[in-house]
Amino acid sequence: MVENGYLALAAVLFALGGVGVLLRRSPLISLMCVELMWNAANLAFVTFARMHGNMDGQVFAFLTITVAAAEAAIGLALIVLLFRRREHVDVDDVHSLRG
Amino acid sequence: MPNFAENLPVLAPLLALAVGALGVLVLDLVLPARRGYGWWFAVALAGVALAALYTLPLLGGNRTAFGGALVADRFGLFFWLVILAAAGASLLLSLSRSEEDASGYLALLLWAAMGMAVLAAAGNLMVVFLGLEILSLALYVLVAFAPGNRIAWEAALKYFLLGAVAAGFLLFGFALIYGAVGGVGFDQIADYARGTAELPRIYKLGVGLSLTGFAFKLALVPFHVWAPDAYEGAPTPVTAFMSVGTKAAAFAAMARFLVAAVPPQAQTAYLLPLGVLAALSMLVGALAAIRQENLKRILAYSGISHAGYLIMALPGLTEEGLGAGLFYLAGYLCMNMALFAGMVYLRQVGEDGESVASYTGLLYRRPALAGALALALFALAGLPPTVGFTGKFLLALAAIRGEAWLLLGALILATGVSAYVYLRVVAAMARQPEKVRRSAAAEVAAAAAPAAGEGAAALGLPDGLIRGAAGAVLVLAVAGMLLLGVLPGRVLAALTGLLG
Amino acid sequence: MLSLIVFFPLAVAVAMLLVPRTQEKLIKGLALVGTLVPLALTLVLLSRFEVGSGAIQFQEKFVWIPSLGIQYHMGVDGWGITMLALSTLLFPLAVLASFGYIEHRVKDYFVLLLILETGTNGVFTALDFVLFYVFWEIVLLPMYFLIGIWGGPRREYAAIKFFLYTLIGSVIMLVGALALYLQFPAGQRTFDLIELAKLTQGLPVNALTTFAFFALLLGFAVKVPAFPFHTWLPDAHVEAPTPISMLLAGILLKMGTYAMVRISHPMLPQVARQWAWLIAVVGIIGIVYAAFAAMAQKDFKKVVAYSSVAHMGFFLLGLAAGTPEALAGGYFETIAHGLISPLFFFVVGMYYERTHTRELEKLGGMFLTVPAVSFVMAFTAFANLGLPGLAGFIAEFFTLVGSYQTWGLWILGAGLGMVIIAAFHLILMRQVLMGEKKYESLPDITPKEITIFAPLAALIVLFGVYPAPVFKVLDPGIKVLSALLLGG
Repeated sequence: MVENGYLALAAVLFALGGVGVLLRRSPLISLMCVELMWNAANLAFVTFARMHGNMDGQVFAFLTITVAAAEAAIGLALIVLLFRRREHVDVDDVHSLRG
Repeated sequence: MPNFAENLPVLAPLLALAVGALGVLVLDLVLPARRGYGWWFAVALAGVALAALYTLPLLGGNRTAFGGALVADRFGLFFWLVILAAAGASLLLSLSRSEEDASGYLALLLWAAMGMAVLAAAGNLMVVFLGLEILSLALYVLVAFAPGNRIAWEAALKYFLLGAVAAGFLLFGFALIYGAVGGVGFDQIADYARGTAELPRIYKLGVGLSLTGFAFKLALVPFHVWAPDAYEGAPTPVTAFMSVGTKAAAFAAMARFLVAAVPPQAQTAYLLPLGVLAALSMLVGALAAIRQENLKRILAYSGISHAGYLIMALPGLTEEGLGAGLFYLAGYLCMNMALFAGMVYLRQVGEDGESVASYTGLLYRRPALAGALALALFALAGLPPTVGFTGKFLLALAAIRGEAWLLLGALILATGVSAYVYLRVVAAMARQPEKVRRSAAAEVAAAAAPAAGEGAAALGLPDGLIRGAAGAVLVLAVAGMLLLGVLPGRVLAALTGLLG
Repeated sequence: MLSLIVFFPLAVAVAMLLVPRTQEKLIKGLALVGTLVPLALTLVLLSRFEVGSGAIQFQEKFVWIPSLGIQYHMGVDGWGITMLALSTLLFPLAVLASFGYIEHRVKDYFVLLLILETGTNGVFTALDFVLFYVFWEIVLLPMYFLIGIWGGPRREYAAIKFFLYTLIGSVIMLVGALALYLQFPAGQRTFDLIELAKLTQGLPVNALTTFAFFALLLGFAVKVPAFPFHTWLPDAHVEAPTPISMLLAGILLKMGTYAMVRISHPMLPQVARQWAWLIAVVGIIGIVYAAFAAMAQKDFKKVVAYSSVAHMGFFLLGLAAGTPEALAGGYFETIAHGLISPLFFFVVGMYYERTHTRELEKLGGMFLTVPAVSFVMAFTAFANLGLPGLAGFIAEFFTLVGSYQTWGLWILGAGLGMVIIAAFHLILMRQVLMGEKKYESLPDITPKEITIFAPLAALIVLFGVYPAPVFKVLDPGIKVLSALLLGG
C-alpha cells in the first residue's frame, strides 16, 4: 500500500526533526527541525485523511500550516531580539539562566 | 451548516476577550499613549468582566457549539471562571507597568486567556491544538515582555523552542489517533476506544505522544525544565497568570482527552506512566526548590509539584476526582495570586520582593502583609484552615479511591519537603533583621522610591491606584483561600454532575 | 458551650489585634481573660458532667460539608473532658508565666498563644475527623512561631524540625483515615468519629486496615512522642521559652495520647489486638531508652524533656495491655504528667531566670542560695520520679499492675526503667540542690511563681492521695475501650 510508504516517511521526518532539535545548537536550525516535526505530522494527517476518505485530516493539516506560520514568526522575532544584542546565535551561549 | 446565532452564547465570552484585546490596540492607535494609558487597562478589564458576565448564564445547562467543537459543560465553564479570575487578577497586578508597549502586553494577556478558555472547552483534537497554540504563542511573547531584560528573552526562547517541540509531539500523536479512529471529535474517539476490543498499537502510541505534549504544558517532570526560567524571567503578573491559567487549561483539556481516549477496562495501563511522572514531579519540584533563593523560582518549582498533585485527581477518571482537581485549581489560584500580589506590592513600595533574603524581617516591617503571605505559604503547604488543606484532602480522597498508592506516597514525602521550602520563607519573615541591614535596606528603598516616582510621572497610573489594586487582589485571594478552606460545602455541591 | 470554650480565645486574639502594641498592660489583661474564661466555663461543665455515663455529653452538631459526610460535631466524654480541663487550666498558668518573661513583641506572642488554645481545646472536643484534623494542624502554626521567634539560639532549627515531624506524621494519618472512610458504600460514609468507629470495628484484619491503623498510630505517635519519633522533642523543648515548654509538655503531647484512645484504638481494636505487643515493646524501649538518655544529659531542660518521653512510654504500655487497670493507669499518667511536667519546666525556667544557665554543671548548692525555689524543685522531682502519695505514683502503679495481667514478667523492663528514672532524678537533685554554693545571693521565689506552683502542686497532691474522682470520670470510657481491646 502506497499509504504505508507515506506514513513511514512521516515517521522518519518526525524522528529526524526530533533528533535535530536535540543535537543542533543554533536556534535557527532548531526552529527548522521543529518545523520538520510539525510537517511530518501534517503528512501523516493528509495520508490518514486519504485512507479514511474524510476531510478531517486535511482540515487539521491546513490549521497546522497556519499556526506554524505564526509560530515561525514569533520564533524568528525572539531569535532576532537576542541576536541584535550579540554577534552570533548559539543555544549554548544562552546561559544567563541556570538549568 | 451550523447556525451562528445558535452558537453565539457559547462563543460570546471568547469574543468578549478577543474584542477587548482589539479594543486596546485600537485605542492605542487613536489616542496618544499619555492620554489613553488608563483607558487601555479599563478596556482590558472590561473585556474580562464582560466575558465573565457572558459565562454565568451558561452555567445553567450543558451545551455545545459548532457541532461539538466547543463543549460548554459545567466542567469547562468552571474552568473558564478560574481562568477569567486569573486574567482579571493579573491585569490588576499589571497596573504597575509604565512602558509604552503596555497596549500590546494587555492584548496578548487577553488573547492568552482566550486561548486557555478555548482549550478548556475543546470538544475535538483540532480545537485542543488551536487553543493550545493561541495561549502558547501569546505567552511566548509575554514572557519576553521585559524591555532590555536578557534573562527574560532567553527564557522566552527556551520556552518557545521546548514548547514547539512539545506541540510537535502533540500533533503527531493526534495524527496517529486520527489515523486509528478516522475522526478527531472526542465523542468519536470515545466510541472507538470503547467499541474496539483490541486497540491497535498506532492508537496507543498516539495517546502516549499526546500525553507528552500535555505533560509539557503542565510542566510535569521531565518536561519541566522551561518552567523555572520562564517563571523567573517573565514579568511578575505574567508569571502569576501563566502559573494558574496554563495549568488549569491544560488540566481541563487533558482530563477531557483522557476521559475520551482511555478505554475503561485498561485504565491502569494508560494512567500508570502519567502517575509515575506525577510522583516524580512532586518530588523533584519539592527537592529542587530547597536550594532556590528567588521566590519566583520557588513558586515555579512548587508549581511543578502542584502539577503532580493535580494528577491525583485522574486515577479512575471519576467525576468526583475531576471535581477535586477543579477545586484544587480554584484554590491554587487564590494561593498563587496572593503571593504574586504581595510581590508586586513590595516592588511598588520599593522593596525587592523576589529574593528570599529580602523577606528578612518583613513580619516586623509590615506585619499584615507578612501575615497574609505566610498564610498563603502555609496554604501551599496544605495546612488548614485554608483551601490548601481542603484541596489536598479532596485530591487524596480521589487518589485513594483510585488506589493510586504511588501518588499518595509521593504526596506524603513531597508535602514534608515542600513544607520545609515554604517554611524557609516564613522563617526569613520572622527573623529579626539586624540593625545595619535594615538601614541599608531602607536606603535602597528610599533611593528606589523617587526613581519609581519619576517613571510614573512620565507614563503610568497613580501610585495609590497600583498599590490599591495589588492590595485588593491580595485581600480577595486571602479571603477566597479561607472561604474555600472553611466553607467549601456549596462549591463542592456545585461540582457534582460536571461532565455533560 | 463547648464551641465557646474553643473559640473564645480566638475571638480574644482577634480583638487583641486591634489593640495598639504599646498598650502592653491591656494586652496582658486580655490574654488572662481569654484563658481564664474557658477555664471557668470548663469548671461549669465539670460540675454538670454526668459522671458514670459513657455517653457523649454537651454535644453540638451542625451540617458542614454534607456531600462528604463531614459535620461540625463537638462533644466530650470522660476522655475528652479531663484533657479539656487540663488544657484550660494550663493556659492561664502559661500566660502568667509569660509575664515578665516575654518582653519583646508581647502582642504577637499572646495572639499566637490564644490561637494555640483554640487549637488544643478543639482537638479535645472535636468528634468529626476532619474537624479534629483541622484543629490538630492549627496547633502547628502558632507553635511554629512561638518557638521560632521567642526561642533560644537554635530556635529556627527546632521550630522547623517540630513542624516537619508533626506535619508528615499528620499527612500519613490523614491518608489512613481517608482509606478507612472509603471502605464503605457512598451512603454510609461519614467522618463522624463515633459513627465511623462503629462501622470500622466490623472490618476484617487485612492489609488495608493494618495500613490504616499504623498510619493513624504513626501520626499520633509522632506527637506523643513514642520512641523512634521522639527526636524533635528535646530540641523543641530546649529552644522553646519556658511557658511554651510548659504547654508543649503539658498539653501538646497529650493530643497524641488522647487521639489514640479516641481514634486509632476504638476504630480498629481488631488490628490493635494483633499488634499490641509491638506497641508494648515500643513503650518499654521508650521508657528505658529515654531514662538512660536523660541520665546522660548536661542540659537541665533536656533531662526533663527526656523524662517526658519516658513517662509517655508508660501510657503506651498501658494502652497495649488493654486491661481496665492498665488503661486507667496509662491515661492517669498523661494527666499526672500534664500537671507535673509543666511545673518541672517552670522550675527550670525559675533557675534560668536567676542564673541564666541551664547547664547542670554551673548549677549547684541551690538549697543554700534559693531555698524556696529549690523546695519547689525537689517537690517536682519527687512527683516526677513517682514518689508514693503524689499523682505520678498512682499512674505508674496502676499501669504496671494492669500490664502484668497481659504481659507477665516482661513488664520488668518497665520496672527497670522506673529504677533508672528514680536514679537520674536523684542525681539531678544532688547536682542542682546539694554541693557548694555557686552563686552568692539570688532572689528567692516571687508571688507570681507561687501562684503558678500552688494550683499545680495542690492537684498533684490531691490526685496522689485521692485519685478516685478522676477514675470515676474515666471509668465508662475505659470499660468500653478495654472490652474492645481485650476482644469479646
